[in-house]
Amino acid sequence: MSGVEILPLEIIDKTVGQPVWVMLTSHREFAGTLVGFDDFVNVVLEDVVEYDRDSEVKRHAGKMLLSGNNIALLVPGGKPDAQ
Amino acid sequence: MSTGNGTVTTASSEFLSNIIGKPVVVKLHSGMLYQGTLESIDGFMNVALNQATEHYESEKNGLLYRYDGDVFVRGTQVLYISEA
Amino acid sequence: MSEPSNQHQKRKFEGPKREAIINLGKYTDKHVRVKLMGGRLVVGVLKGYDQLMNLVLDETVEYMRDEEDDTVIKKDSTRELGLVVMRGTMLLTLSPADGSECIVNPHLE
Repeated sequence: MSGVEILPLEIIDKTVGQPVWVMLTSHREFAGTLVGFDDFVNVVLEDVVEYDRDSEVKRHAGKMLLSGNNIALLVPGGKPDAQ
Repeated sequence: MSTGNGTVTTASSEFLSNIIGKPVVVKLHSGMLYQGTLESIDGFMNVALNQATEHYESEKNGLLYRYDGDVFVRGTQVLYISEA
Repeated sequence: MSEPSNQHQKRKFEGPKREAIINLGKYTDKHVRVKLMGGRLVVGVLKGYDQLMNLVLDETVEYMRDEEDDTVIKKDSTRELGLVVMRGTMLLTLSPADGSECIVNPHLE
């Protein structure tokens, strides 16, 4: 294991406190501020907008614990044109 | 950082311990949404709610059921737990 | 009394498992095409990875799918995601994108 320049979990760690866009294996997506995460990449988000196929499903004012079980992609910087 | 030792730690466990007794919404992978008071929760995201209401996807879609007692939700089916 | 041999077997089995079966290092800074569980398809430049096959992709593009049929990828409908982290647990296939192209389905006509 040499020559590894960027570690995925390091990227996630750097986006704590910043907007993030989380995409599940399904068509569901979450855009909010990353509060933290754990070893399983369960994710705690804040001020979340929940989407299904790009259409807004629900807004969450407080914090949310999102199960890492179905998280496929995390996009630091958040969802463009969100909020 | 990436040394999983079988327990849910840090951000998630802190969140969980802070929201016990508070109103929460829990969504399952199926899209069912449960809103109620969080009685208890564990590291598997098993959840016990009190005075819960059941909706599909969002409260906007109407009330499906009102539970007067406790509701237990299996952790494997939980998509998220959110402050109501 | 089968436990000791059982444990021995387990240790033997887990030994070589730690080594990744493919060295992703040779794909760094190259375009890779990644399929994910659930049907998502992304193409991006591999910037990093870890032992669990979590990936860091840059200039990532996601290929959108048909609204009616999830299995159909719309060839010219994409969205730019930029820098992303992909969960290794959700990785289905990974292949170099450069030098690959779509061909016409030879079974049609």
